[in-house]
Amino acid sequence: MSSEFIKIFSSIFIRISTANIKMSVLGEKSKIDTCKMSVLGEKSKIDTWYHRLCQRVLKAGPVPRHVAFIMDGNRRFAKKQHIERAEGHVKGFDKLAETLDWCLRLGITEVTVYAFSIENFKRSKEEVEGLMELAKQKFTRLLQERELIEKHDVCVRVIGDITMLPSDVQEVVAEAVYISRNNKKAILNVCLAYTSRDEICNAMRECAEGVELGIIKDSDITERVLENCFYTNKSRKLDMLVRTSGEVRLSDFMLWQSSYSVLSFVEVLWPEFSVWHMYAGVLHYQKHHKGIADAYTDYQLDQERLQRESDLECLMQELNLTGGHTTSKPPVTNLEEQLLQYKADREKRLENFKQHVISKRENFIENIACSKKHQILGTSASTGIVNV
Amino acid sequence: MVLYGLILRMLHFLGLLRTCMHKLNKVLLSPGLIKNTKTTSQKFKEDVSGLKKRPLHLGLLIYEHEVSFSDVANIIVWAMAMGVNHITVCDRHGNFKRNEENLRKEIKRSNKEHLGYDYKNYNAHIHSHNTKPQDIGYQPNSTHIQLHSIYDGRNKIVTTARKLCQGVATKTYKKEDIVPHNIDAILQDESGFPDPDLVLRFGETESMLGFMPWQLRLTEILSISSHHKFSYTSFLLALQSYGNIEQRFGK
Repeated sequence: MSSEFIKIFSSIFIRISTANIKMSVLGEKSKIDTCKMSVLGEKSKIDTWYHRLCQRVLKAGPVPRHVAFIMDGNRRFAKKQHIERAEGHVKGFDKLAETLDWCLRLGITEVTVYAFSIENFKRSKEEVEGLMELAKQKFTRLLQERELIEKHDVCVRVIGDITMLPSDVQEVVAEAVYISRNNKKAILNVCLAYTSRDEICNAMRECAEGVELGIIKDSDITERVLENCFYTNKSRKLDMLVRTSGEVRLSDFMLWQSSYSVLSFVEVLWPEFSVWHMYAGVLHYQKHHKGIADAYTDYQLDQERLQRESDLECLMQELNLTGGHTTSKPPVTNLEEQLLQYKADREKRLENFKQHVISKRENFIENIACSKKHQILGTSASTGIVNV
Repeated sequence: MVLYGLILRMLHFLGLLRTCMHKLNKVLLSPGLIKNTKTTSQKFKEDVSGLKKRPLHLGLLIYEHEVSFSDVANIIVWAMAMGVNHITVCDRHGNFKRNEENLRKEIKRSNKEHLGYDYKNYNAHIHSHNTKPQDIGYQPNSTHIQLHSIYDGRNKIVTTARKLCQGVATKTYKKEDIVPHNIDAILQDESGFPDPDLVLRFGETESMLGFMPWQLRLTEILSISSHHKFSYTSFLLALQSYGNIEQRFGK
């Protein structure tokens, strides 16, 4: 369906777009360069009256707040353009920087990107090394542009099992996450060494640990608890998932989180993804948003029902256990109160558990980030406190 | 602000108009096509041999207010005749799961209608509650069908997580053993169904809505606006486009 919108759009705007290209070739070359070079471009080439008009028009309707991208097609793009594979990946990265800018302008404040899957480790050694080098470079660059991160108030998070990455990459990634952790305005989630199944298993292990340590009971585990253990536990609900290059599968990305998201499969290769595809994506979202919101409400009601039933069942079990000692059954009026009490206790357990999981991850990131600092500071840094 | 809203509405209206035109086109063109395709088991075999690959497990996600048992039964029978061994049917309100008998009857009817004298050679086994494919054992030309509600997929993951946590707490299961490979084995063993290769998603809502999140990993998703009056030609087209998809498995 989105391709239809793109057709409409392109037919309406084709003249304007060509005019834009001419303009940028003639006069605004420097602007494009800055945009391509840094992660957070200062000036953008889409700051024209008709882009602003499109943005305002789209913003008159519901706009997704959190969008995920599967940036597929870099290698096919390289093949098509007869350039090196690595070059294709660089082009793909430049496109990401542009896309982030478009998203922010549209009011999409959280973006998640599938940068590197666990499955990608199976690729040739050179390509994996090249990609790791690219990630390292870009994150290092990001660290050098710290003022920009602060200025734009951008929070970078890493999603995935980063222990699988080479240690030098781990360090720069962790540092970027660490220094930007308190920023609020925009959030960029980078999925590195990520697959959704791995994430689900990791969440199960977290829960198992929680049960082992006595923070939660096994009967407390619900969909929400698993979600609280995901790498995305600090993120808002995923509103839309965009996959480029015409593939129509999720490839182990956000399998759970995308359950109630609009899926948008776009035909173009990722380096060819343009702002018009982005606008078309938002239109596509607006078309399906209502249906999904209804389905999500149904789902939440069902979850509440399950929770009530489970609470009652657990309470009855507890009463039966203690009931062996006291001969008389508790009066019915009391039961309601006890149920409320049980619910409150459970909520408290879950809150503790969530804090436990989050601070565990935070400490983990902080440790890696700070270990790097220590290495750099070497012997001169005798204190454990590091200024960031 | 009002002006922008109006423009936006106009854009959406244009989009709607386009889809309507598209549908109208299809309706005007389709009767001729339907007449041409007389389905017999021979015809199915020919069509299958024209496909580059066929799905072994087909998922049908139906997210529409009204469901049609006869149309779904038709799809099941076509898939069966083309050698699809596993089918999962899932709909918004769990209608199929609740009215298993009704679906069974419709499949029987559709079977006779489409496969003629050959219909006895094809068996459809519906598994909804306690049975699974392993219980029946291997039979040639038999297709296993599981009926799901849209909440079942996530629910299964939660119940598995609970069980494993109990196991870890009582030291009968190791925490380190909770890895994708093992979880996948547990889930597949419980259902007896492999991961779906292809999901046909019917309805206007472009989303998976909780349908089998774990199993969707490499599944191809094709969207179709409605399952009502879904024709064999459209079905074949869907399978053909599935046949032309290449997977790279991350490489």
